[in-house]
Amino acid sequence: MHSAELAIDTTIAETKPKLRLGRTIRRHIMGFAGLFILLSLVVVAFVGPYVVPYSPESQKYDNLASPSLEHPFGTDRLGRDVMTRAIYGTRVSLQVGIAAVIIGVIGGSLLGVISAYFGGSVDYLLQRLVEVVMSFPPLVLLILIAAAIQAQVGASIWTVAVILGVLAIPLMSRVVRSIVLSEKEQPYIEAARSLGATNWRLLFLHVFPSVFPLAGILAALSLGGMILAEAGLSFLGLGVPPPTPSLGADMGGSARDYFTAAPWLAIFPGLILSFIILGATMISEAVRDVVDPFARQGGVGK
Amino acid sequence: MIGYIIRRLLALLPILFGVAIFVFIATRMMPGNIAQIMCGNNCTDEQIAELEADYGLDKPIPEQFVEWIGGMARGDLGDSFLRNRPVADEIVDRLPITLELLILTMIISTVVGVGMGAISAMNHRRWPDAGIRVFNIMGMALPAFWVATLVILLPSIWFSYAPPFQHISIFEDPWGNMREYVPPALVMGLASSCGLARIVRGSILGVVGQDFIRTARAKGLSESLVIRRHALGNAMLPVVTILGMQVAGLMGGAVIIEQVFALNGLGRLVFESATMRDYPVLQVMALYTVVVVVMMFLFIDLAYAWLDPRVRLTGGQHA
Repeated sequence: MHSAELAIDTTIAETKPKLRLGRTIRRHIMGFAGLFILLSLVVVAFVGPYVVPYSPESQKYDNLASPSLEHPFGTDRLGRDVMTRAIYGTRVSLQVGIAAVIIGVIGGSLLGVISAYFGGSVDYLLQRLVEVVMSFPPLVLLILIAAAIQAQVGASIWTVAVILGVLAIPLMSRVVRSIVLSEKEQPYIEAARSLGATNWRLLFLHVFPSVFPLAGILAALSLGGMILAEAGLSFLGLGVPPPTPSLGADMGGSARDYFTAAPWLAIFPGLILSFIILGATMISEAVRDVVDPFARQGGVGK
Repeated sequence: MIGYIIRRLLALLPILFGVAIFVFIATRMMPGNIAQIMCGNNCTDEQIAELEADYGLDKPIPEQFVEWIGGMARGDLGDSFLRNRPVADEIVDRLPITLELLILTMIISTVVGVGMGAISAMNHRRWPDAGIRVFNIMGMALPAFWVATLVILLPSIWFSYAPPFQHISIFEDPWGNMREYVPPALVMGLASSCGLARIVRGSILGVVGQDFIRTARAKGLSESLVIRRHALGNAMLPVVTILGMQVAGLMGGAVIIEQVFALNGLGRLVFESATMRDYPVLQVMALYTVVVVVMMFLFIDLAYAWLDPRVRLTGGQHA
């Protein structure tokens, strides 16, 4: 009897992890599908440049050649291979998006933690500043800042990433702040303080770690928007400067004059861009299904 | 109530002042000014200096700021550098274009969004729900400027059809006007309806779990009657916020869509003014958008109080 029970226990213990993984994937099929799309594009973007025989800026092919075996996505008005540019453009999109998310999340966490933890006049001043920045419609602010900073220091994919990341800080800091406000009243913080822990020790050992899961969620929710914003800015000619390949820039500016003659110029970069953002959106939707810090905050921008 | 509105509007003033300073500094930090851009490479330094003096750009920045704020206080919004006419006239001319686009977009967004959300919630976890959610995610993911480009490009390739690109008044030629405005409104309306549908779905599902819905069902009401009569009204509260925020965003003009469809609305004005360093227009447009956003939030809060008797209006802290 006893040994039989034990045998059942061990079989359960052996099969449990496997079952759980399968069930997790099935329950969040959308999130894992998004992850799959995004990871495939990451592989294409970072391995592709070593595989394709063309350079994204080389202009030695026929102008406006329609898609063929040699040039699957055709060539553009300067005789550049559109597929090669799309692969490099995917890498630029991902680099800018991920860098902007990292800047936004780290900056937002720092600002939110400082604002909430120290409270008082520090909190008051920071929050008024956050309100001023957040009262701007995002795109107007983006255009202003992008036009101002880009020409000042010379545009590159990293200035675009910094601009997008910094502009995301206020909203992120609001979410982090509300979490820290409740966290700092927890009894364990008081206990640590009564044991003589300094502010810095409390901050780095206790408050920051409590923000980590939230930071991950914010990152997952904001990636798609960042990539879309980069594409939109570049499309308007205020983002990644030519001749750097960018999915947005390749569909804007003077390329538009050739769209009727060469529709592949419009179709393929947009299709790839849509897949990147689709992957990111599916992940963010899956995360949102589980937790939604923006909803708990009482609406974006409030 | 009146006191509450006044308090909220007074709270707007310091924000406006902060924004005014912020924009003033941001524009002056932009390299190159209108004089240099208009000259290109053809001017001597003296000619550039002369142009700068014409625009008042040779004065110290604090003096420029005081002059501008003083003008604003007297109701003078200043003159556009680029167009040699009052900024106010420029905005008034373009507002109808932006407003028409806004109204059409919001009609499409609300009807389609609420409809999809309600159908999705009523068929929770069945195939219409799954289908609508897939459509919603596609709608949120597809970049609007790409969809807009295809909406113009594909008909022109397949049927040699192009929407009119010059402004057509709705009063002179309603059909031509619709051909001009419906495509961009559809692109934006369907995209924002997808975000809206998700909120409506979540909101209805949240309401449906409550006691009064169980009572309504126990009375023997049909499911569609339960949703329409009892659930939908209560589920509309969060929707008001989303709609208000969409209106606030569109009031400033849709920069990218107006650019793609060649509509001379406020969004294009902001974009052109930024690239041409037309400071007076940028300053006023920044203040205009802030006023619109803050007023919209006030309106949302008032709508909440009106729709939901449980909501009480107090203070004006979160303007």
